[in-house]
Amino acid sequence: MSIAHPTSPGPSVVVGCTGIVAEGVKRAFGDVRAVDGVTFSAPSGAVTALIGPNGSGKTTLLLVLAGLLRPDAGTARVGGFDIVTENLAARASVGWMPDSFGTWDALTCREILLTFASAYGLSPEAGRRRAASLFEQLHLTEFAERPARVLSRGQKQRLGLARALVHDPCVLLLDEPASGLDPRSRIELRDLLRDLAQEGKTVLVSSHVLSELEEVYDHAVFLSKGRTVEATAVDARTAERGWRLDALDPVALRTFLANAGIPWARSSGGEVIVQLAGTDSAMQLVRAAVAAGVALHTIAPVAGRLEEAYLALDEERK
Amino acid sequence: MTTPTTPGATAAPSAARPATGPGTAAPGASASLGFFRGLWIVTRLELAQRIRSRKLYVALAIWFVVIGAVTLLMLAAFERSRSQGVSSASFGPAAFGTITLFVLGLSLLVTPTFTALSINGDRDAGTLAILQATRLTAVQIAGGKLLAAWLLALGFLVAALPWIIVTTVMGGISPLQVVVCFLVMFVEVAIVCAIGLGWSALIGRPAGSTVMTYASVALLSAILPIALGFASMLTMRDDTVRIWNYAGDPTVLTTQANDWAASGFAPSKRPDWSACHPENQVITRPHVESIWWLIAPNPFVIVADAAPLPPEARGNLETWAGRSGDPLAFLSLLTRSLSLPPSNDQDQCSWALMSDNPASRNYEVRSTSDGSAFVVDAKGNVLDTGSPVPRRIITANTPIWPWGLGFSLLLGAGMFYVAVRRLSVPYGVLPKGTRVA
Repeated sequence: MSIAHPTSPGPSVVVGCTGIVAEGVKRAFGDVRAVDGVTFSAPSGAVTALIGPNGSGKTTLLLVLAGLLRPDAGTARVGGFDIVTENLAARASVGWMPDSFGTWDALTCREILLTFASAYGLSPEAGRRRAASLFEQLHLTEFAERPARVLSRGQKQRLGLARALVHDPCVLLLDEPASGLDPRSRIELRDLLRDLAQEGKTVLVSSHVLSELEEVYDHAVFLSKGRTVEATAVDARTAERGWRLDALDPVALRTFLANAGIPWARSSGGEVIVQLAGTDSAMQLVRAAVAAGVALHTIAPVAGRLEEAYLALDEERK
Repeated sequence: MTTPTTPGATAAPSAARPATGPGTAAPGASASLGFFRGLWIVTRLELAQRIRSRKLYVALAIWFVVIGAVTLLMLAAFERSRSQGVSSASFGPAAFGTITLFVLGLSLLVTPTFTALSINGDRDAGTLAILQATRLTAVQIAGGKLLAAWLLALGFLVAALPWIIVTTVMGGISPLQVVVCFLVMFVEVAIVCAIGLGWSALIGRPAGSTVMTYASVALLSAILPIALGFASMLTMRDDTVRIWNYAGDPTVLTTQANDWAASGFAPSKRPDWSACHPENQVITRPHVESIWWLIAPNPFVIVADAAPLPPEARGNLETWAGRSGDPLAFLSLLTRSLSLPPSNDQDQCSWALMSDNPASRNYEVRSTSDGSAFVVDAKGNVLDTGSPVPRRIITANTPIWPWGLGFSLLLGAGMFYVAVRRLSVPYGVLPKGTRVA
């Protein structure tokens, strides 16, 4: 997994995909400073999660990166292109799926996809093949000839994803892509994002349903009040977080913890919760418990890493 | 092109170098799309939305039936008046002109609906931003929408064409007139489409842009002419005008004129005007020629003035308009007479030619719009009586419609430019109350 900071700015011919680099991006709407200093990079070949509470500027940031909004200050490059000075090239290398979008009622799903394929410069033949393979991949083949208005919310969401992917973009910007998807589709979306990252694409996903990002993301960018927040707390090796423990003999486990001087609490499910400083501590605890003869069978973080980080962020905000 | 990988499968060998299929948009490829191809993508998208809706066909059917009904009613009325001998003149130009103006008026009512919602409506529907995010440029999106709306408007005009052709069976209308009137109407509806497009880009709320588009059309076609009417009162001025009166015995003059007519209006037999004398008089009258241009961009005036006239009509529009009953010629005459300063000589002498029994005469005296008298033969041709009074003759030799059409085109181009500016990404300032997506 390579971190690709473009070292040479300028409209050079870019080989492969160079991800997203944003520096000091600001964008206000009147008095509202929606994005107020965002600096981050999302490398290619990885899934980067964009996380923040409602109103933290996620959607605005994605609009800026999609080449639709001019930043008031700062610069951003997507796929190697400056989003202001090389707007057209930047747009062409980005697949953007907004959080809400409409469809053309009178058009079938296939026609919509073909329209966008040609709007991105694909030949009709290439567009047809691409549409067919995307319908297959996103389980929309049976709806291909139906008007888009009959689709359910989840199906529309999948069509929107197909639309964002139709030109095989090297950078994907997905704004709440999983909303409206059923559990099975969410899992498939996750796998799809992984595949895309593995193909070398840059994937930036925003969501506030953290559990669905938990298993797919490689990096996380946290936004709070329009700013990127230093997310040191997410270093899994050292971050303090709650762990859930369970053993065949709960009494033995508690005795062990008491002897080791580790404070614990009881969870609602009857399990034991301890605060540990990262995975290293957890590993040491397991080793010690096993050595002490405690029949430990479960040890798991109480919350996902993202959730922990997000909550830490929330505390910082207060 | 990446093959559809089954979810969860390990990366294909080609994963290291993605996007290497035919037709795939390579990330670094020069990001442009053939201008006309991009334009046509948007046009097709817009047209598909309309063409597949039943509403369009219902509207077209109503359109066809209404215009047909009015045409047939009018032809029936003309037939009846012809059979009762009201006039022997050909009804062709009158019928053609009336229906042409009627079709133009209906087009001006229908056309705004094709573009007045095309940008803010799409924004509301969430289909605009995803188009703007593609390689399509603002010019292609605005142009595609304009072209689609224009093609729809053309469809309506073409649907009216059969009835316009029906009116030409009454005679007196050349194919050239039909073609030119249609071409000018094509341009007029394109201008209205562009105005609607501009408003739909400027105003976020669909109701607002619809009102403004209709208001703009109303401004050109009705409000400015009304304004001209009121403003003409402000151009009132005292002028010293020479009124020419006949001091002799009118019956002598009439007898001379009848001899002249009997000779086939031979120049040597013209009546004797020695008793026709000028007299200075101060009258207060409007000078609309300083503000006549208010009606130059009027769509009806433009079409009427652009309509080709038969060669014999060009020399004297006043004669032709009266003879043919052609509303297009009347409108053109009205506009031209407003654009010219009123004559400083008023012929009252010629009225003396009408002192006998009309049945024995084969000429007629008529009045011009600025109060002079003139003489025409039985066919309506203006005669040179040899009268000493200088006359203002309104000809159709130099067209005035290019000015109005040119101004309208500039207006349409300006509104199109506004639409392009408002569609250009990345957005700097967003129009009030609008979101990107």
